[in-house]
Amino acid sequence: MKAAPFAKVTLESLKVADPTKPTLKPVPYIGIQLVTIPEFQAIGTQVGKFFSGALTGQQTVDAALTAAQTTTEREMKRAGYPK
Amino acid sequence: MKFPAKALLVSTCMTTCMTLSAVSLGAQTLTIATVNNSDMIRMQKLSKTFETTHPEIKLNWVVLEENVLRQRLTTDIATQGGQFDVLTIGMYEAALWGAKGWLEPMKDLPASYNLDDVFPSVRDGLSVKGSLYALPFYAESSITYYRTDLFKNAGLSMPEHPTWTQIGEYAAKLTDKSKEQYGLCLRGKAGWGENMALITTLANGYGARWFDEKWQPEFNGPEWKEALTFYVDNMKKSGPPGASSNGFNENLALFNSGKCAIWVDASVAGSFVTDKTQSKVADHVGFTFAPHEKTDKGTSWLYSWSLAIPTSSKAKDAARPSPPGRLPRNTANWWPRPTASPTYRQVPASRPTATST
Repeated sequence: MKAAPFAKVTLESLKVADPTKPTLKPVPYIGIQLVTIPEFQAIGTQVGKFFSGALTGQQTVDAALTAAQTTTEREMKRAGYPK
Repeated sequence: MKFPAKALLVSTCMTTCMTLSAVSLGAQTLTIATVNNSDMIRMQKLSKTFETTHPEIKLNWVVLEENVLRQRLTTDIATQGGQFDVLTIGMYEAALWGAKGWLEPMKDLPASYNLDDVFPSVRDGLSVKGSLYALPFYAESSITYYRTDLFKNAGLSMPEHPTWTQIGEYAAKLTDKSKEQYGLCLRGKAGWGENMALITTLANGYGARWFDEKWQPEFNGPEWKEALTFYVDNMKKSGPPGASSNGFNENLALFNSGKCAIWVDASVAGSFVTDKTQSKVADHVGFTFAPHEKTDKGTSWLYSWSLAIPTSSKAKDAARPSPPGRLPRNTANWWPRPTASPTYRQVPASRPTATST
């Protein structure tokens, strides 16, 4: 533990991280920091760009969230959700 | 690559490091795609040892920046391109690609590989319907790193379970941009495995979710707004310039050079921030849990860089795990051993050290 002072926090965090119960409210997906569906790679990348844009000030937080909502709705509809 | 060799996926080195042995008919090249983070560079460094004991196999490494790696692997596997024999992937890919039959199941593991040593959540995450599709190199969660010296000097103390609000307050107090001292370093580089990993755990802490039970996205709800507002406001106030270019590697370099007071990121950085050969602040790093806000649910992530064999590999026959191997006997081996004394430097992003195309 002396050699790895971060071990205790890491171990405790790993024990509680549960991708099957990732959020306060119930969700239909598995994954804490991601959503385990094939569409997520594209959606997550796109939303990541919007949020990165909010960070640089390219767009406001509201605009980034609206864009994220619109894009995600569209992609999910296209993929046939709700399944 | 067309030799019908039987290379065997086993481990002979640290943690779950993979090596490949073969009963081969001739020299064979195995192309391994991996990510340019320090642990994988560490893994790559072991190839000489492996090649010495397995002269019939040559290892060809393709080391890529995370976003590039994900794109290349997705394209290769979806088109059954067969460019790679071993893939470095996470639970996301293992679950989806395993279900599609794109990955070789990891069965008949050597007796020395005790699957019970693997965290159940990681094992489950790499499995589909009870079949394991990848072997973890390491598992990580996300934690908070902070500078104990700066906290002490400012008369602050870090709680064991900080809230994001507290993190924001401390970060503001510990920011002195004239000295290139930034209170808060968080990922800003766009990518579902980069900024979205951090931002999603942050949003989870505010009670947000990506989708409701009917798969309706919730970015228009108050939780996401509060979370993203916190992120943007505090990064502007206390973050480093150009934060939108910073992923894991970039923030690690910033933290190690002494420019960040607080950094929330992968637990795997623990062995690097405390390593004096690469960290200027090795003696002044504190560790605590990832911040929460309204809930602690989903505030620390679960990730595992793992190794898998695509069915499209020309050497896939090969890929049956078999002895000899020495794999982790207990969970303490799950993170890189601090005794490994890494002497390498961070590799620049997007610098392939080998090519296969």
